[in-house]
Amino acid sequence: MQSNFSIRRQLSDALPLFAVVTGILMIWPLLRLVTNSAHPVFVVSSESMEPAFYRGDIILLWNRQQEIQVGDIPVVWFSGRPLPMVHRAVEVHQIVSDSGYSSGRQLILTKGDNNEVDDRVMYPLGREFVFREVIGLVRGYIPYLGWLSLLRSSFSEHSASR
Amino acid sequence: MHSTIVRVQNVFGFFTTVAFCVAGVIALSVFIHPQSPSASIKLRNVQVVKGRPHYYSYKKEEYANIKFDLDTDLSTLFNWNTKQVFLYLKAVYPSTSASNPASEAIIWDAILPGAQAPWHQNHYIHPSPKNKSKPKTKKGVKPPPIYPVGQIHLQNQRPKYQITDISGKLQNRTDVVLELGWNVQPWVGALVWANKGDWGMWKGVKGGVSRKFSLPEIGGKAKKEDVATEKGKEGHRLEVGGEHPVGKKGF
Repeated sequence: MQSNFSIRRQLSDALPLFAVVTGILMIWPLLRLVTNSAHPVFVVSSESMEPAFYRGDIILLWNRQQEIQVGDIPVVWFSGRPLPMVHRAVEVHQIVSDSGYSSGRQLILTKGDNNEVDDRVMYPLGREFVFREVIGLVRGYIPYLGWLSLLRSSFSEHSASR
Repeated sequence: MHSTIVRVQNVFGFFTTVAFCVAGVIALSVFIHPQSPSASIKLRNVQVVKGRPHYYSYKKEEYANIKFDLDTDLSTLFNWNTKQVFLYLKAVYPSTSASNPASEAIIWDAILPGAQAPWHQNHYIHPSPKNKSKPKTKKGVKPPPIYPVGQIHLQNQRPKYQITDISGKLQNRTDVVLELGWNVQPWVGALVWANKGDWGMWKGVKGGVSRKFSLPEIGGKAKKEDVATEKGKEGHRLEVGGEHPVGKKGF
Protein backbone atom coordinates (compact mmCIF):
# COMPACT_ATOMS: atom_id res chain seq x y z
CA MET A 1 0.00 0.00 0.00
CA GLN A 2 2.80 2.35 0.97
CA SER A 3 4.84 1.79 -2.19
CA ASN A 4 1.80 2.16 -4.45
CA PHE A 5 0.98 5.46 -2.88
CA SER A 6 4.51 6.79 -3.25
CA ILE A 7 4.66 5.74 -6.90
CA ARG A 8 1.40 7.52 -7.52
CA ARG A 9 2.71 10.53 -5.71
CA GLN A 10 5.85 10.58 -7.79
CA LEU A 11 3.90 10.24 -11.00
CA SER A 12 1.49 13.01 -10.10
CA ASP A 13 4.39 15.24 -9.16
CA ALA A 14 5.99 14.58 -12.50
CA LEU A 15 2.77 15.27 -14.41
CA PRO A 16 3.14 19.08 -14.62
CA LEU A 17 6.65 18.61 -15.96
CA PHE A 18 5.43 16.23 -18.65
CA ALA A 19 2.59 18.59 -19.50
CA VAL A 20 4.99 21.48 -19.97
CA VAL A 21 7.44 19.48 -22.03
CA THR A 22 4.81 18.05 -24.35
CA GLY A 23 3.16 21.45 -24.61
CA ILE A 24 6.41 22.94 -25.78
CA LEU A 25 6.99 20.08 -28.19
CA MET A 26 3.50 20.59 -29.62
CA ILE A 27 4.05 24.27 -30.42
CA TRP A 28 6.07 23.63 -33.55
CA PRO A 29 3.66 21.18 -35.23
CA LEU A 30 0.77 23.42 -34.20
CA LEU A 31 2.45 26.39 -35.81
CA ARG A 32 3.05 24.36 -38.95
CA LEU A 33 -0.62 23.42 -39.01
CA VAL A 34 -1.95 26.92 -38.44
CA THR A 35 0.30 28.59 -40.99
CA ASN A 36 0.18 25.71 -43.48
CA SER A 37 3.91 26.06 -43.93
CA ALA A 38 6.53 23.38 -43.50
CA HIS A 39 8.89 25.81 -41.83
CA PRO A 40 7.00 28.74 -40.32
CA VAL A 41 9.85 30.48 -38.47
CA PHE A 42 13.15 31.54 -39.96
CA VAL A 43 16.17 33.51 -38.90
CA VAL A 44 17.37 35.95 -41.54
CA SER A 45 20.92 35.10 -42.44
CA SER A 46 21.81 37.39 -45.32
CA GLU A 47 21.82 41.12 -45.93
CA SER A 48 19.97 40.91 -49.19
CA MET A 49 16.78 42.38 -47.77
CA GLU A 50 18.26 45.26 -45.82
CA PRO A 51 17.06 47.61 -44.47
CA ALA A 52 13.85 45.66 -44.00
CA PHE A 53 15.41 42.54 -42.52
CA TYR A 54 18.85 42.46 -41.00
CA ARG A 55 20.84 39.37 -40.14
CA GLY A 56 19.55 37.86 -36.95
CA ASP A 57 15.92 38.92 -37.29
CA ILE A 58 13.16 36.38 -36.96
CA ILE A 59 10.52 36.17 -39.67
CA LEU A 60 7.19 34.40 -39.38
CA LEU A 61 5.61 32.82 -42.41
CA TRP A 62 2.05 32.27 -43.55
CA ASN A 63 1.21 29.92 -46.35
CA ARG A 64 -2.57 30.09 -46.81
CA GLN A 65 -2.55 32.57 -49.65
CA GLN A 66 -4.44 31.76 -52.81
CA GLU A 67 -2.11 33.76 -54.98
CA ILE A 68 0.99 35.86 -54.65
CA GLN A 69 1.13 39.51 -55.68
CA VAL A 70 4.10 41.72 -56.43
CA GLY A 71 5.38 43.32 -53.27
CA ASP A 72 4.83 40.16 -51.22
CA ILE A 73 7.88 38.50 -49.71
CA PRO A 74 7.89 34.80 -50.59
CA VAL A 75 10.40 32.40 -49.08
CA VAL A 76 11.74 30.31 -51.91
CA TRP A 77 13.56 27.05 -51.23
CA PHE A 78 14.87 25.21 -54.22
CA SER A 79 15.42 21.53 -53.65
CA GLY A 80 18.99 20.64 -52.92
CA ARG A 81 19.89 24.10 -51.64
CA PRO A 82 20.95 24.34 -48.00
CA LEU A 83 19.08 27.57 -47.37
CA PRO A 84 16.04 29.32 -48.78
CA MET A 85 15.96 32.79 -50.28
CA VAL A 86 13.81 35.48 -48.72
CA HIS A 87 13.26 38.15 -51.36
CA ARG A 88 10.48 40.31 -52.73
CA ALA A 89 8.29 39.33 -55.67
CA VAL A 90 8.80 41.90 -58.41
CA GLU A 91 7.06 40.22 -61.31
CA VAL A 92 4.09 37.85 -61.34
CA HIS A 93 2.49 36.14 -64.32
CA GLN A 94 -0.17 33.52 -64.15
CA ILE A 95 -0.85 30.65 -66.47
CA VAL A 96 -4.13 28.87 -66.30
CA SER A 97 -3.69 25.20 -66.92
CA ASP A 98 -4.83 23.91 -70.26
CA SER A 99 -7.98 22.29 -69.00
CA GLY A 100 -9.25 25.72 -67.94
CA TYR A 101 -9.03 25.18 -64.18
CA SER A 102 -7.97 28.35 -62.43
CA SER A 103 -5.53 26.51 -60.21
CA GLY A 104 -2.86 26.99 -62.78
CA ARG A 105 0.49 28.25 -61.74
CA GLN A 106 2.00 31.56 -60.99
CA LEU A 107 5.38 32.48 -62.38
CA ILE A 108 7.21 34.70 -59.94
CA LEU A 109 10.43 36.66 -60.27
CA THR A 110 12.09 37.78 -57.04
CA LYS A 111 14.64 40.41 -56.12
CA GLY A 112 16.26 41.29 -52.84
CA ASP A 113 15.70 44.89 -51.72
CA ASN A 114 19.43 45.30 -51.22
CA ASN A 115 20.46 43.67 -54.48
CA GLU A 116 20.94 45.65 -57.62
CA VAL A 117 19.53 43.02 -59.92
CA ASP A 118 16.85 40.40 -59.75
CA ASP A 119 17.47 36.82 -58.77
CA ARG A 120 17.30 35.09 -62.09
CA VAL A 121 20.95 34.01 -62.07
CA MET A 122 20.37 32.36 -58.72
CA TYR A 123 17.58 30.14 -59.97
CA PRO A 124 18.50 26.63 -61.11
CA LEU A 125 19.73 26.42 -64.66
CA GLY A 126 16.98 26.87 -67.17
CA ARG A 127 14.47 28.25 -64.69
CA GLU A 128 13.31 31.77 -65.31
CA PHE A 129 10.67 31.91 -62.62
CA VAL A 130 9.74 30.45 -59.30
CA PHE A 131 6.48 28.69 -58.71
CA ARG A 132 6.21 25.64 -56.54
CA GLU A 133 9.20 26.37 -54.36
CA VAL A 134 7.46 29.01 -52.26
CA ILE A 135 7.10 27.67 -48.73
CA GLY A 136 5.35 30.72 -47.33
CA LEU A 137 5.04 34.49 -47.35
CA VAL A 138 6.64 36.64 -44.67
CA ARG A 139 3.87 38.15 -42.59
CA GLY A 140 5.41 38.74 -39.17
CA TYR A 141 8.67 40.04 -37.85
CA ILE A 142 10.63 40.12 -34.60
CA PRO A 143 13.95 41.99 -34.65
CA TYR A 144 17.29 40.85 -33.25
CA LEU A 145 16.15 37.69 -31.45
CA GLY A 146 17.64 35.23 -33.90
CA TRP A 147 21.29 36.09 -33.28
CA LEU A 148 21.90 33.09 -31.03
CA SER A 149 20.80 30.78 -33.80
CA LEU A 150 23.19 32.42 -36.26
CA LEU A 151 26.08 32.04 -33.85
CA ARG A 152 25.28 28.38 -33.43
CA SER A 153 25.20 27.74 -37.16
CA SER A 154 28.39 29.68 -37.77
CA PHE A 155 30.22 27.14 -35.63
CA SER A 156 28.92 24.24 -37.69
CA GLU A 157 29.91 23.30 -41.21
CA HIS A 158 26.74 24.61 -42.89
CA SER A 159 27.45 28.26 -42.34
CA ALA A 160 24.69 30.68 -43.27
CA SER A 161 25.04 32.24 -46.66
CA ARG A 162 23.08 34.13 -49.29
CA MET B 1 15.09 28.93 -2.93
CA HIS B 2 17.14 32.06 -2.68
CA SER B 3 20.24 30.95 -4.52
CA THR B 4 21.69 33.11 -7.24
CA ILE B 5 20.77 30.72 -10.01
CA VAL B 6 17.14 30.71 -9.02
CA ARG B 7 17.08 34.49 -8.76
CA VAL B 8 18.65 34.91 -12.16
CA GLN B 9 16.16 32.45 -13.56
CA ASN B 10 13.23 34.29 -12.06
CA VAL B 11 14.43 37.65 -13.31
CA PHE B 12 15.05 36.29 -16.77
CA GLY B 13 11.67 34.60 -16.88
CA PHE B 14 9.89 37.74 -15.77
CA PHE B 15 11.82 39.84 -18.25
CA THR B 16 10.89 37.51 -21.07
CA THR B 17 7.22 37.57 -20.16
CA VAL B 18 7.13 41.34 -19.90
CA ALA B 19 9.06 41.81 -23.15
CA PHE B 20 6.71 39.47 -24.93
CA CYS B 21 3.65 41.30 -23.64
CA VAL B 22 5.04 44.73 -24.49
CA ALA B 23 5.91 43.57 -28.00
CA GLY B 24 2.42 42.16 -28.40
CA VAL B 25 0.78 45.39 -27.26
CA ILE B 26 2.96 47.44 -29.62
CA ALA B 27 2.20 45.13 -32.51
CA LEU B 28 -1.55 45.32 -31.93
CA SER B 29 -1.63 49.03 -31.13
CA VAL B 30 -0.97 50.06 -34.72
CA PHE B 31 -4.55 49.28 -35.60
CA ILE B 32 -5.83 52.23 -33.58
CA HIS B 33 -3.66 54.70 -35.48
CA PRO B 34 -5.82 56.22 -38.22
CA GLN B 35 -4.54 56.10 -41.76
CA SER B 36 -5.72 57.98 -44.84
CA PRO B 37 -3.31 57.44 -47.71
CA SER B 38 -3.90 59.09 -51.06
CA ALA B 39 -2.09 58.91 -54.37
CA SER B 40 -2.37 60.14 -57.91
CA ILE B 41 -0.46 58.54 -60.75
CA LYS B 42 -0.26 59.81 -64.29
CA LEU B 43 1.44 58.26 -67.23
CA ARG B 44 4.02 60.55 -68.82
CA ASN B 45 5.53 58.53 -71.60
CA VAL B 46 5.88 54.94 -72.59
CA GLN B 47 8.13 53.40 -75.17
CA VAL B 48 8.42 49.84 -76.34
CA VAL B 49 11.81 48.72 -77.57
CA LYS B 50 13.11 45.45 -78.90
CA GLY B 51 16.37 44.59 -77.28
CA ARG B 52 18.01 42.94 -74.33
CA PRO B 53 16.67 44.59 -71.18
CA HIS B 54 18.35 42.41 -68.56
CA TYR B 55 21.95 41.49 -68.00
CA TYR B 56 21.07 37.85 -68.48
CA SER B 57 18.92 38.27 -71.61
CA TYR B 58 20.37 36.06 -74.31
CA LYS B 59 17.79 36.86 -76.96
CA LYS B 60 16.08 40.04 -78.01
CA GLU B 61 12.64 40.66 -76.59
CA GLU B 62 10.23 43.56 -76.41
CA TYR B 63 10.38 45.60 -73.27
CA ALA B 64 8.62 48.76 -72.15
CA ASN B 65 10.02 51.83 -70.44
CA ILE B 66 7.30 53.73 -68.61
CA LYS B 67 7.83 57.25 -67.28
CA PHE B 68 5.27 58.56 -64.83
CA ASP B 69 4.17 61.35 -62.49
CA LEU B 70 3.51 60.40 -58.90
CA ASP B 71 1.90 62.51 -56.19
CA THR B 72 1.17 60.76 -52.95
CA ASP B 73 0.68 61.47 -49.28
CA LEU B 74 1.51 58.47 -47.15
CA SER B 75 2.46 60.35 -44.00
CA THR B 76 -0.37 58.71 -42.04
CA LEU B 77 1.18 55.30 -42.60
CA PHE B 78 4.01 56.22 -40.25
CA ASN B 79 3.34 55.54 -36.59
CA TRP B 80 5.36 54.56 -33.54
CA ASN B 81 5.80 51.03 -34.84
CA THR B 82 6.82 51.85 -38.40
CA LYS B 83 10.39 50.96 -39.27
CA GLN B 84 10.07 51.65 -42.96
CA VAL B 85 7.61 51.69 -45.82
CA PHE B 86 8.58 49.88 -48.99
CA LEU B 87 6.76 51.80 -51.68
CA TYR B 88 6.39 50.37 -55.18
CA LEU B 89 4.65 51.25 -58.41
CA LYS B 90 3.50 48.28 -60.44
CA ALA B 91 2.28 47.96 -64.00
CA VAL B 92 -0.67 45.63 -64.41
CA TYR B 93 -1.13 44.40 -67.94
CA PRO B 94 -3.31 41.68 -69.42
CA SER B 95 -1.88 38.47 -70.74
CA THR B 96 -1.74 37.57 -74.41
CA SER B 97 -4.25 34.81 -73.90
CA ALA B 98 -7.71 35.83 -72.72
CA SER B 99 -8.04 33.06 -70.16
CA ASN B 100 -4.98 34.07 -68.17
CA PRO B 101 -5.20 36.64 -65.39
CA ALA B 102 -3.27 39.89 -65.73
CA SER B 103 0.47 40.06 -65.15
CA GLU B 104 2.05 42.47 -62.71
CA ALA B 105 5.54 43.92 -62.66
CA ILE B 106 7.16 46.51 -60.43
CA ILE B 107 8.62 49.42 -62.39
CA TRP B 108 9.76 51.62 -59.50
CA ASP B 109 10.28 51.26 -55.80
CA ALA B 110 11.54 53.33 -52.88
CA ILE B 111 12.33 52.65 -49.24
CA LEU B 112 10.94 55.36 -46.96
CA PRO B 113 12.48 55.19 -43.49
CA GLY B 114 10.57 55.74 -40.28
CA ALA B 115 11.68 58.40 -37.85
CA GLN B 116 13.92 56.24 -35.68
CA ALA B 117 15.21 53.87 -38.32
CA PRO B 118 19.00 53.74 -38.34
CA TRP B 119 20.50 55.21 -41.48
CA HIS B 120 20.88 52.83 -44.37
CA GLN B 121 22.29 53.51 -47.77
CA ASN B 122 19.13 52.32 -49.50
CA HIS B 123 16.85 54.90 -47.91
CA TYR B 124 15.07 56.92 -50.53
CA ILE B 125 16.12 60.54 -50.82
CA HIS B 126 13.49 62.62 -52.50
CA PRO B 127 14.90 64.48 -55.49
CA SER B 128 14.45 68.22 -55.26
CA PRO B 129 11.92 69.71 -57.66
CA LYS B 130 13.59 70.96 -60.81
CA ASN B 131 12.52 74.58 -60.57
CA LYS B 132 13.47 75.08 -56.95
CA SER B 133 17.09 75.84 -56.13
CA LYS B 134 18.78 73.60 -53.63
CA PRO B 135 19.02 75.11 -50.16
CA LYS B 136 22.55 75.98 -49.09
CA THR B 137 23.87 73.37 -46.71
CA LYS B 138 26.61 73.76 -44.17
CA LYS B 139 29.32 71.18 -44.31
CA GLY B 140 28.54 68.15 -42.20
CA VAL B 141 24.90 69.11 -41.69
CA LYS B 142 22.27 66.94 -43.30
CA PRO B 143 20.07 69.01 -45.61
CA PRO B 144 16.46 69.24 -44.41
CA PRO B 145 14.08 66.94 -46.25
CA ILE B 146 12.19 68.65 -49.00
CA TYR B 147 8.82 67.20 -48.15
CA PRO B 148 7.54 65.71 -44.90
CA VAL B 149 8.07 61.99 -44.55
CA GLY B 150 5.61 60.07 -46.68
CA GLN B 151 4.91 62.78 -49.24
CA ILE B 152 6.24 62.14 -52.70
CA HIS B 153 5.91 64.42 -55.70
CA LEU B 154 7.69 63.22 -58.80
CA GLN B 155 7.44 64.50 -62.33
CA ASN B 156 8.46 62.58 -65.41
CA GLN B 157 10.16 59.98 -63.25
CA ARG B 158 12.23 57.35 -64.99
CA PRO B 159 11.41 53.80 -64.00
CA LYS B 160 13.89 51.61 -62.15
CA TYR B 161 12.94 48.48 -64.01
CA GLN B 162 11.84 47.76 -67.53
CA ILE B 163 9.06 45.28 -67.97
CA THR B 164 8.89 42.31 -70.25
CA ASP B 165 6.29 39.67 -70.87
CA ILE B 166 6.66 35.91 -70.84
CA SER B 167 5.56 35.84 -74.44
CA GLY B 168 8.42 38.15 -75.39
CA LYS B 169 6.01 40.58 -77.01
CA LEU B 170 4.69 43.74 -75.43
CA GLN B 171 3.77 46.16 -78.17
CA ASN B 172 0.16 47.21 -78.64
CA ARG B 173 -0.95 45.74 -75.31
CA THR B 174 -4.11 47.51 -74.19
CA ASP B 175 -5.69 48.11 -70.76
CA VAL B 176 -2.44 48.65 -68.91
CA VAL B 177 -2.62 50.50 -65.58
CA LEU B 178 -0.06 51.71 -63.09
CA GLU B 179 -0.94 50.99 -59.49
CA LEU B 180 0.74 52.09 -56.28
CA GLY B 181 1.36 49.62 -53.50
CA TRP B 182 3.28 49.63 -50.25
CA ASN B 183 4.48 47.34 -47.53
CA VAL B 184 4.71 48.76 -44.02
CA GLN B 185 7.52 47.09 -42.12
CA PRO B 186 7.01 47.35 -38.35
CA TRP B 187 9.56 47.34 -35.57
CA VAL B 188 7.72 44.30 -34.24
CA GLY B 189 4.62 42.52 -35.42
CA ALA B 190 2.75 41.97 -38.63
CA LEU B 191 3.77 43.31 -42.00
CA VAL B 192 0.89 44.99 -43.76
CA TRP B 193 0.35 45.79 -47.40
CA ALA B 194 -1.81 48.39 -49.10
CA ASN B 195 -5.49 47.99 -48.30
CA LYS B 196 -8.04 48.93 -50.91
CA GLY B 197 -11.02 48.84 -48.56
CA ASP B 198 -11.44 50.42 -45.14
CA TRP B 199 -10.25 48.43 -42.13
CA GLY B 200 -11.65 50.23 -39.11
CA MET B 201 -9.53 53.32 -38.61
CA TRP B 202 -7.46 52.56 -41.68
CA LYS B 203 -9.03 54.12 -44.73
CA GLY B 204 -8.41 52.50 -48.07
CA VAL B 205 -6.14 54.30 -50.48
CA LYS B 206 -7.75 57.21 -52.31
CA GLY B 207 -6.74 57.10 -55.93
CA GLY B 208 -3.64 55.04 -56.38
CA VAL B 209 -4.43 53.74 -59.85
CA SER B 210 -3.64 55.48 -63.11
CA ARG B 211 -5.93 55.67 -66.10
CA LYS B 212 -5.77 52.79 -68.52
CA PHE B 213 -3.35 53.18 -71.37
CA SER B 214 -1.90 51.11 -74.17
CA LEU B 215 1.62 50.19 -74.92
CA PRO B 216 2.58 51.63 -78.28
CA GLU B 217 4.13 49.96 -81.24
CA ILE B 218 7.84 49.78 -81.46
CA GLY B 219 8.85 53.16 -82.85
CA GLY B 220 11.98 53.97 -84.71
CA LYS B 221 15.32 53.49 -83.05
CA ALA B 222 14.87 54.77 -79.50
CA LYS B 223 17.52 57.08 -78.11
CA LYS B 224 19.52 55.57 -75.29
CA GLU B 225 18.68 58.34 -72.81
CA ASP B 226 14.99 57.97 -73.48
CA VAL B 227 14.79 54.38 -72.42
CA ALA B 228 17.37 54.52 -69.68
CA THR B 229 16.36 53.49 -66.19
CA GLU B 230 17.21 55.10 -62.93
CA LYS B 231 19.38 53.08 -60.61
CA GLY B 232 18.14 52.74 -57.10
CA LYS B 233 20.39 53.42 -54.13
CA GLU B 234 21.15 49.72 -53.89
CA GLY B 235 22.60 49.87 -57.39
CA HIS B 236 25.31 52.32 -56.45
CA ARG B 237 26.86 50.23 -53.79
CA LEU B 238 29.56 48.61 -55.85
CA GLU B 239 30.90 51.76 -57.45
CA VAL B 240 33.85 53.56 -55.98
CA GLY B 241 32.40 56.30 -53.85
CA GLY B 242 29.07 54.95 -54.96
CA GLU B 243 26.99 55.77 -51.94
CA HIS B 244 25.72 58.82 -53.75
CA PRO B 245 24.53 58.73 -57.34
CA VAL B 246 26.86 60.71 -59.54
CA GLY B 247 25.02 63.50 -61.32
CA LYS B 248 25.98 65.23 -64.51
CA LYS B 249 28.08 67.80 -62.70
CA GLY B 250 29.96 65.14 -60.83
CA PHE B 251 29.89 64.52 -57.16
